Amino acid sequence: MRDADCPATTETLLVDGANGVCRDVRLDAPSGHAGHALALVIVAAAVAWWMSTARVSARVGRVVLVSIAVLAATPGAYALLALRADRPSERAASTRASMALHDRVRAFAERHGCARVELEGCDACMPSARLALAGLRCDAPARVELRAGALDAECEERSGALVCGRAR
Amino acid sequence: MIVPLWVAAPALVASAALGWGLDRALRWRLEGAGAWAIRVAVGLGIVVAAIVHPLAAIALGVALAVAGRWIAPQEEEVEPARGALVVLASATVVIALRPPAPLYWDELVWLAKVRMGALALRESALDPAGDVIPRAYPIAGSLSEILLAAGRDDVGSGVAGAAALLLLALALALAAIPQERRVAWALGLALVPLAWVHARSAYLDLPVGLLAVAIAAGLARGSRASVIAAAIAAFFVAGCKDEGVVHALALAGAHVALAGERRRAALRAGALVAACALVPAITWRVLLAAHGVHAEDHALEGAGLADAGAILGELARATWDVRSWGLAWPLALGAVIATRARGVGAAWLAQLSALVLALLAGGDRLAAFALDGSLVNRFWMQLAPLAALVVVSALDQRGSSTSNTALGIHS
Repeated sequence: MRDADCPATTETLLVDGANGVCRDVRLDAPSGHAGHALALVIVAAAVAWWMSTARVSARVGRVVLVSIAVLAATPGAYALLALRADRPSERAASTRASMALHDRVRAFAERHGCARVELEGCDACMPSARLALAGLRCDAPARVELRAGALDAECEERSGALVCGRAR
Repeated sequence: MIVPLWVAAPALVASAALGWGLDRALRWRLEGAGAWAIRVAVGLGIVVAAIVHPLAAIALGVALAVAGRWIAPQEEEVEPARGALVVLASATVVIALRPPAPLYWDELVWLAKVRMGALALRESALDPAGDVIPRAYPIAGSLSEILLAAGRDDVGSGVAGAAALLLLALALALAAIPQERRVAWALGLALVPLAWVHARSAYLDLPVGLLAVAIAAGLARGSRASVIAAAIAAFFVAGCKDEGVVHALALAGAHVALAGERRRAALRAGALVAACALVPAITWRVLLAAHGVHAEDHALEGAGLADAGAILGELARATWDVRSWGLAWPLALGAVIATRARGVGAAWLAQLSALVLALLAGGDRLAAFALDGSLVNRFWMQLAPLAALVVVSALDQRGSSTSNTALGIHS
């Protein structure tokens, strides 16, 4: 577990933000094996024994298990509160950054009735572009070209088209 | 900035009114705070089904009418609702206190569907050349969000519609869970870090998991209200995602298989849940086929079988993603073992097994997503809410068996 593996930029948040608190499962995929399943079963058996044993009262058993659960949740809670780009202190700024391209494309498309998008090196732009153009219909869609770096929403209008991102 | 949940008020009120009317017409005689969650879900479900196809609404209505006849009312005290309301209010605050805009990939994709509007979405989803991504997915979830967003096309309203659907799923789960376990269950789920991410997103995996709780807990309780909650939850879970019908059928099947002496009552309740799940699932598949739209992502091709070992390995590895899950999975599995896979533990095992089989039976894209790590935690998110109930139930049973022993009571 490394702090650097947590999605700390708008782009990594977009791609992996909901696939895990950090990118632990993504970065090492596929490396799962029987050992993970065996460890799960062994620890589960220990939990089952602790839940069933008469050596401790139900109350003590419950307190111990809840305490372990709380401790185990701490690394994830820390990542959510201090490391990810959507942590409370940064969420508003990350949201503004993530919506910047959407807002630019939507405004352009609405002015022209609707638009169609050409992805030229910015696959990560696809979801924002789709949301920006959804629900708009017209007979002559204007053109939106999204190049590498377009997520930063550095755009200019050229010959009736909206071009975002770095020139090739 | 907050999520404008108030935009969902007209749809919630209208759905509640429709659900209340059905309650009166069908003589369900639902009572208590949970009754309103059920009425809202029923009203919304009927309208959504009608948009998908009028026959779907009729079929759903018939199933719900049969529920009123098949499931006898039980003499139950109306449960205190304070715990459920505290949980629902707390969840509302958590979900609302954020900028009303998406941050994660699939959120933007789902919200694009919401922005299309109900009729345009349906038309485009059933057009082989239609511009809908992902193609051929069920649309009941998106239709619900559109209605809850009052048909508005701004991003904030779409986020509010998605949040309202999540809260409705939570309310249904709370209506089905026994009163004494609601708060503990919610606290248990709150100890899962990744649940906080999904709760504040427009992803459907957490709502699916909550609806599965409503099904399992509703069937386990067996009262008329809880079975109706389970049935309408089954409609929504199957209408939101293709794997939703797998959840519903697995939970209904486990309930029937383990019914023991109450087999006849369990068969009726299980059949109702299965029927309410099959209505949207079959309707949608028939409509897709009739319009020549091919479901690529979730085609039954068995592509995962060739990589079964690797996929199962990835699922197992994900259970040790401690930053996402804490120790949720060893605790859940331990609780199942401790209770000898009885009750909700058996339901959860059935849910898990069925989902694994569905994953292995799916197409190339599904297998690829499982192997690249982007699907496995969302797979587990659909199982997390019921897993939390398994743990809480096991701890409860331990406490009550110790008390019984102390009092000289032995089962």
